[in-house]
Amino acid sequence: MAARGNTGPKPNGSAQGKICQFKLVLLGESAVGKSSLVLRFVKGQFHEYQESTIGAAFMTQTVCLDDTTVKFEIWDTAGQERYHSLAPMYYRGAQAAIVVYDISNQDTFGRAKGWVKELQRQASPTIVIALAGNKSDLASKRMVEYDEAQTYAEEHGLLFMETSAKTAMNVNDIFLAIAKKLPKSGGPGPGGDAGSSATGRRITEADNQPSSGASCCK
Amino acid sequence: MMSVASDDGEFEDSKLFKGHLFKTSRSRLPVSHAGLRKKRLVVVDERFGKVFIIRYEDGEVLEQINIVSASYTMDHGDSGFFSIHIGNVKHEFDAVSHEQRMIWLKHLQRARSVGLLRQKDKPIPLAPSGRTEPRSSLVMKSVDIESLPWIDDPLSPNEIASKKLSGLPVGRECTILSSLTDFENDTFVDYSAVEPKSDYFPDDEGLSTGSVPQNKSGFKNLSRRVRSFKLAVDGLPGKSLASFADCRNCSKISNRMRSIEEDLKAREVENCALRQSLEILRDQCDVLTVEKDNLSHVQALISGGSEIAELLKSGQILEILRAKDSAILESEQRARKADELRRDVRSLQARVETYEELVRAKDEAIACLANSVPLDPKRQRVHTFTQTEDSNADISGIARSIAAANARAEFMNNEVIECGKLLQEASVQAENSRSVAREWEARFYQVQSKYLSLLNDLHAPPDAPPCGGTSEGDVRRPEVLARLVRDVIDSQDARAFETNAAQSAVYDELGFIRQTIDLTPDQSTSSRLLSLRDRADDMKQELMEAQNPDWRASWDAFLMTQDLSTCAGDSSPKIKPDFKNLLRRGVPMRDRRRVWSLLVRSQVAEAAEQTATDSNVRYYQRLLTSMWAQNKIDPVVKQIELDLTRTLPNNRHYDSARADGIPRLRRVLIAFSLHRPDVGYCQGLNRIAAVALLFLSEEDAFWAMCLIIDRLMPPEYYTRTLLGAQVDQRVLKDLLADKLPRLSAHLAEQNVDINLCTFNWFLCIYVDNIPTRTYLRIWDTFLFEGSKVLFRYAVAAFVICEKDILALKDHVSIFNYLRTIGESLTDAQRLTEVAFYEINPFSMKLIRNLRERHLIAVKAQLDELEALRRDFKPMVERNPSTNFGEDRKSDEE
Repeated sequence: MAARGNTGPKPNGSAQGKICQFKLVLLGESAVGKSSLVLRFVKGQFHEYQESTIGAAFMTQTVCLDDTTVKFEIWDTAGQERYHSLAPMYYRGAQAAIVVYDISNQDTFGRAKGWVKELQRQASPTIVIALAGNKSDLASKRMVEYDEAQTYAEEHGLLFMETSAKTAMNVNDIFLAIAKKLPKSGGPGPGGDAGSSATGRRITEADNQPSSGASCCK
Repeated sequence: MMSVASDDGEFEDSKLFKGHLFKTSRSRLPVSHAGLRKKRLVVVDERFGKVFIIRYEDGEVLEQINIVSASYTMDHGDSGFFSIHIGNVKHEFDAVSHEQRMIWLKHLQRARSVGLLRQKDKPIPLAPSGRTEPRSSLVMKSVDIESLPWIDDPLSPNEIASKKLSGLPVGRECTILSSLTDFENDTFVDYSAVEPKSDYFPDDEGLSTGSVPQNKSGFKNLSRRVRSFKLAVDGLPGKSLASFADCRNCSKISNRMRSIEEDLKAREVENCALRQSLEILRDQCDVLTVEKDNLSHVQALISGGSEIAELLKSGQILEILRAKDSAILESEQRARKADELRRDVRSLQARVETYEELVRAKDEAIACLANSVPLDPKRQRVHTFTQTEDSNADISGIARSIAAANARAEFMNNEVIECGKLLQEASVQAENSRSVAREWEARFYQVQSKYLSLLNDLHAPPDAPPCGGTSEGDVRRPEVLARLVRDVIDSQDARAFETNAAQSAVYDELGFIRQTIDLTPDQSTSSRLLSLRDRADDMKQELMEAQNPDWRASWDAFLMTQDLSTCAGDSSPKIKPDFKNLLRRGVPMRDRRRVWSLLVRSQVAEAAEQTATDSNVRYYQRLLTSMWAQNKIDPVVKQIELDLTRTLPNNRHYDSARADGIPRLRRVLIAFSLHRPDVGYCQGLNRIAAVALLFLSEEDAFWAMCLIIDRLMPPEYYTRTLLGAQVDQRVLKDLLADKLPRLSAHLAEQNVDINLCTFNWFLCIYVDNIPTRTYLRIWDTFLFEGSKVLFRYAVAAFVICEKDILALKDHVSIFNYLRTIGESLTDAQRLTEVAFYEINPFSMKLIRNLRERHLIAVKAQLDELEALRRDFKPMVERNPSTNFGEDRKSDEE
């Protein structure tokens, strides 16, 4: 995948378009399909038995909008409760988040709501949050109704889609929707700034760093 | 002195045979020569096909002999000497008595064939290592010899030779002897090295040529050899003086002397007869001269007498003269004959003289022998007088030595037959594997050509004109598909043949999927390159393991001593201090099961005992039964279930819900969650348990978890907040700043936190994106030395990657690099060297201090976070539609 990063930014500096770099974090209960969504989005692959994530995983992927190239730095976090003490390290400075639940498991939806709350309170105020009801291919085992989630998303100002990493349904779409929603105003700071301030921060640091909430590069 | 018989039964199971032997450096020396004999504990280990020589006093392994390619010889005589030959190296032992020696040899032979069998089980005959030498020439030759008739003769070749010697005429004897001696030289190299017998027969050859001076020197040689032979036969006093009539060689000589004397007598008789006939002839001659005188007298009378009478008598006289003439002729003839006879007699006399001289020489030689044999001149004198009395003792001595020689010959025959058998087996096996290899090669070429043509078709440039191009492509595609289908059908036909091999081609010996070379066009060249490199590294590692006999030998020795101590009823095997260094050199893959289980058992022995006190049921079983009894769905169990199939998915033991490792993994994780309710189950423990289960039994794997989490890792590593793990990440950053200041500054400048990879490394003990062989090496040392090893390897990894990271100038590419950093850690050997030697000093005290310091800071921050979350928890609880709070509580228990 090292090679993939280079394929992203094509033209630069010209009038054709600009390159924006965003930090995106995935949160959600264990085994809802966070890693599978990322794998489908980044590599177009799906593994029935995806190894459980410990700590966090990092990947990059680029999407092209009309005149902008959006490069995502994706932080895929571990789902188990006890890893949540590490989560602030990953969502701090993120411009986007996907909170994932499993439509065949009501508990995971509840846990997703918890994450939405935490993000809205702790993360950057301008963060774009998307709610993903994953495993939509398991319609027969559905426990969380589409409407219920849709209503909740509307109430809290979230993007919402039901996805399936297995069938690839809505996977690219949800990332694209986020890319579209992210502010791509020609912010003053270079992209590198935004990235560096957003990543690798320790939880020791005070979290009053909202300045680079939605910056973008040329 | 010997403990062979008594311990034998006990060691039957473990395929060990041990006892005390004297290791000697020269078997020719008399027994009393104690200076060169050392008492050793010798262990014959069938599993390895090795003989371990252990110092009797302290149990140190002094030497190990690989007997897979060895041959054995024994000294003749009642002594306990025998020797093991490997190539040109000879190890000599003394088992004190003949019976003990035969027991040892029996076991050695068995160990050799078992060892060889085991060696055959191994898959690839890799390049011969220094220790396993090619079969000695002895074995190669012995096959041809096997068919020869004398093998079944219980006598030694020596005796056969002497038997033939006495029975055959001289001329033929020589040729037979020389062929026999050649034979002996070829086949019993070791034998002739023990006693200088092979040179013995050429002397006989010299004897038969009949030239005197040569004989003398030959006799000198002979006497020397006879002396040494006598010495070798019986070193015991009272036996040494042989009566030469009884002595085989002497009797041979005296026989020959007798025949020569008879010959001489016959010649003398003949000589006498000739002399007599000569005298008769002389007498006749005298008579004739007298007659002649008479005649001449008569003639004178006649000539002097009347002429008439002369005329009358002339006819008569003429007749008389004629008769006289013929008589003279006859006498002349006789005289000539007599001369001839005289010449004959002279030559015969000369021959007789020669013979006499020969006999004299022999007498001298015998006298010389008689003088030289006894060491004590006085005794010699005594024995010359009491020869008859001694001869009885001598006879019994000779009988004994013959019996010993018989035993030896029998053993040597056995040995030759055994070696022949082994060789035959080996050659059959070699032939088999050769044919299998040929078959595979053929299949490989078939497959290769098929795929090459397919590839050609697929990649054929659409150089046809645009209008016909599409249609041609459409035509070609079904053809390609048809060929693919054919291919699949073909391969299914041959499936029965290749199931086994196919499995090993897809999975390695631990069940991990091998990286396959994918020909799909979208796979980038770099990833193909990567998988090829992995294979190359794997093979390099295997080669290194195979080519490092010293290292393997030290493991063999270590495991053998451990076996001994367990056999001796030592329940808690003690681990020597040099074990640490041995572990740092890595454990051979084949020994890992034993070594790890030893590591675990020796370290948890106390804990296991403590938990076992209150009931007969084992602790592990008790934990599991208590779990089944609970009969309620625990959130911990739920989480474990979720992760079972998400553990090492690239290993076939865990790759699906039906895989054989899944139930065992479930039980181990559940048992551990009950053993440590404060830990319960933490993601990451599944990987630790899974790797432990690859090498250990279920119960041992459980104890390995206990060892790792209870003892090797700092407290609170896997508990609710992962406190210990978070502390260690900060300690690691401090250590990196100390050891690699440039890299550390670069990472800080780019605002990159190495946590991304190192957190997983520590929590899963490197069972992450690191090559299997590399993390197994880390486990080898970790299971003994504990969590400090984790820091060592982490720092070492960054030492190796420092250059690469310094070259990266933005945080995304550094993160991308860190994500795949494991792939660059294929050289476990190099990594280990850096970890344990290049980054020293690396003090545990420093780590301890850093841990203490960071613990306080991390605790404070976690408390802060906790407070923040408590702060919005009421908000969550206000919403009754979620059971988030409940869930959370259950996990936090």
